[in-house]
Amino acid sequence: MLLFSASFAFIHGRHEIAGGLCDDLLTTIVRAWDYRKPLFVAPSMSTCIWRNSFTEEHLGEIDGLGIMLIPPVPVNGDLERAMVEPATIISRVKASYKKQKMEQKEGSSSTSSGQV
Amino acid sequence: MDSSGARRADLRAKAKAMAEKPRVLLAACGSVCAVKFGNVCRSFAEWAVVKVVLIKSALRFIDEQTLPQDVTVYRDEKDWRTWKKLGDPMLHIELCNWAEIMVIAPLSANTLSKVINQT
Repeated sequence: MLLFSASFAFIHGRHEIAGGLCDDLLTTIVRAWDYRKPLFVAPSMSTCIWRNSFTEEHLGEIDGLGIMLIPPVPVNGDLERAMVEPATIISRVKASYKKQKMEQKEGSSSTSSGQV
Repeated sequence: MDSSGARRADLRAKAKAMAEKPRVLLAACGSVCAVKFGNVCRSFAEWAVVKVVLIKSALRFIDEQTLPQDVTVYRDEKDWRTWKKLGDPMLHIELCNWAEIMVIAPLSANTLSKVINQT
């Protein structure tokens, strides 16, 4: 069991390291993003990372920016927190977009950034 | 006259419908769930005009050729190719200005922390 867990952690860590710590196009876009426009994130990570204090802190900060979180779901006996199904993601985004358009048509000048 | 008028009206309606499609920027991080990204793309492409950003680690899980053909794909190294001197367009700025909505699916813990620590 311990060996399996260690191997699993290694594989996961290697994938993250392979992503590199340097800036990439995605991170640059998020930094440049106009937060009056909607930004959705659908996380995917192992459960131990999901429950870690750092992750909790980071999620609080993205909520503060108005980024909308689509929470992951437990899979593999709760070893992983997997991204939700694509159908869930698009229905959440469509609902938010429709709401935003309705508000614009009503002539409201406020920008919605709440959770849908 | 009636026939050509109807045709013009139809073309106008089609152009309007296209203009009204939402402009969505999709992105994926390097996570096992990125294998679902193709389905995310197809779902959005039916509803919106879609552009895609893939970072290197995501390419371990996503085969670009399986993505819908009407989707434009951008990768990391393209960011600086358009820039040679002041005044030239920056890809990340162009994409931010173009998109109405951005969706990162999946988002890895690594990218989450990078986004937060640089904000």
